[in-house]
Amino acid sequence: MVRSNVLNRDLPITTCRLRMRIARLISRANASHIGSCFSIVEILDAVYQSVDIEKIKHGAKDRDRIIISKGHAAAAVYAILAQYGLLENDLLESYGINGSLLSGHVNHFVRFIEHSTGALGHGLPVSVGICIGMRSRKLETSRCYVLVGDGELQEGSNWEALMMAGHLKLDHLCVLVDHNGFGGVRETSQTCSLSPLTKKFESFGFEAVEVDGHDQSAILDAIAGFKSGHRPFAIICHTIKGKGASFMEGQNVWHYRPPSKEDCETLNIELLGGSE
Amino acid sequence: MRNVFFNLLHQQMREDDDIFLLIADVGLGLVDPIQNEFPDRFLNVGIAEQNMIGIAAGLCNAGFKPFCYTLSNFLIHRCFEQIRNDICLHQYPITLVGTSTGYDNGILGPTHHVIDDIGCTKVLPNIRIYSPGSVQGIHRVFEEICQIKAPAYVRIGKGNFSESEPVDGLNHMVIHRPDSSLLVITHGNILDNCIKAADIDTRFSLFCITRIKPLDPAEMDILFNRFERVLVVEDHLKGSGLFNSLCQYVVEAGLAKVRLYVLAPDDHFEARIGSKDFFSSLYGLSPEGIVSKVSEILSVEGII
Repeated sequence: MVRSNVLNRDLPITTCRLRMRIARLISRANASHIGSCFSIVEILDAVYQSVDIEKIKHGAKDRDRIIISKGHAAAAVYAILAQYGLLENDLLESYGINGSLLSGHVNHFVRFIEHSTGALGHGLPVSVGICIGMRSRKLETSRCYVLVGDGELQEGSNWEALMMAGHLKLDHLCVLVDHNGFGGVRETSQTCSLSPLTKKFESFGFEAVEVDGHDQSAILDAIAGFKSGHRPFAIICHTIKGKGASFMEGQNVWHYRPPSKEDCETLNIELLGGSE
Repeated sequence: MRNVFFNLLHQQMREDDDIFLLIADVGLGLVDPIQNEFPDRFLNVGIAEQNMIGIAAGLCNAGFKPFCYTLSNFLIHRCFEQIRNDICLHQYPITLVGTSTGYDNGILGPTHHVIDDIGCTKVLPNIRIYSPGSVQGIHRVFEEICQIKAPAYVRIGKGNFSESEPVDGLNHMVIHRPDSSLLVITHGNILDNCIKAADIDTRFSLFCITRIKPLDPAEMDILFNRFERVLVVEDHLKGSGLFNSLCQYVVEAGLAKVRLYVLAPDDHFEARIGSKDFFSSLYGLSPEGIVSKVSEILSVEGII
């Protein structure tokens, strides 16, 4: 793996570059949610590495579905789509500009966004529906990946969906939890604890594994386990909100605060040694 | 009417492989034939209505045209955000089939008085709202939802009221009296009472609007050109039902001569329980109440 040569030696250079792009998009748009974006970059990249992009491009009925339930991490999703040739660069650069389709929460008016989210607790029920539909259509090779935030799991609708996924043994469903420990204002452990999260998934009929959510090879290994498994699968990704920016990590003010130009230059040094 | 609807659905599922029926653990015995014949296109999601709507949206992503069935109060009120975001925003062809409307379950108390469901749904872009008043109306509604792939809410009251004449079209003139100057407009379960009222009092014509949303402007113009006095009778809060929609239509169309009247519950929760007939009497929706209101209007207007 090619690694960043500066502070973030644990991160691949590709996801460092993605973070830089995300930061510049959010900074220019004066938008929120950079912390939420930075915690999922390795997860998203691993998921897109694990699917057949060509089937997605062609809208094949048996394509894998990727549902972004934590829709507020939109800038990260758009940057990843561009990375995989699913979003034009011109469109990406319109993020946050009046009249752009690229909203602050992902929406299906953007090609290859399967479902509009932003209100939390919607992605999992929809993903369960997709898996039921695939099973009914006998699409044996199609899988559905849904990315949920840990704070989002406080929404009750998720647990209705998880219960049904376990009941129906939807083995083509992979739930990836961005377990960064924070909600909008403070730690989920302080508002309404999710612990023990892995046991909760297991008790709902899932096979559940925990990984370092910034270790791409670990996430890819977990996804391989999902593909060969026979139960609905949960990958609990332990992440750091704002990962990659020393001044953001674990500082929840960056749930809302947009980075300034100066912040971006600091990031450039921390992520890429000032090369971009 | 509910049984008629599900019989039509059952037949249609034989024709259309894309139809998928979801229920939220209601309808004991009703859907068993469908479940038995189409186990791969049927799911009882349990008592989890918001999950049912999300699942329906996911099924649409996979190419299905789902029907979601439960009591209207659970279907609409609990699931508002799911209906808004997961169905209407995506313009998914999901048909929400809601039953026990109006005061059908009046005896169960105010949580089950479904008198604000049209108001809740009609604010949402893209959704079509149907309130059939008869078995014939159910047939017309089913024909339309099979033709038009769009979000839809079908409000089905209890009973099997059948109109004596064949019914053309969704909305139709039930009784046309050429010499009448007052038109009564109704929908859903109150159609029966309106027809009984028309047997008692022969001074008004009666029109049934089965499709509450969207209204048909050409049809409305014909009605309001013919009748300048219109009484809307409905088992729905007057502030957000059909009367409210017609008020908006009349104002936007600049129909200054048209006078709209209403018989409908006021804006409140009713603590008392009672049968559908009890509430019909309470709010003037009974045949006698409708006749009384008609007399009042014609008296004020100087017709008699």
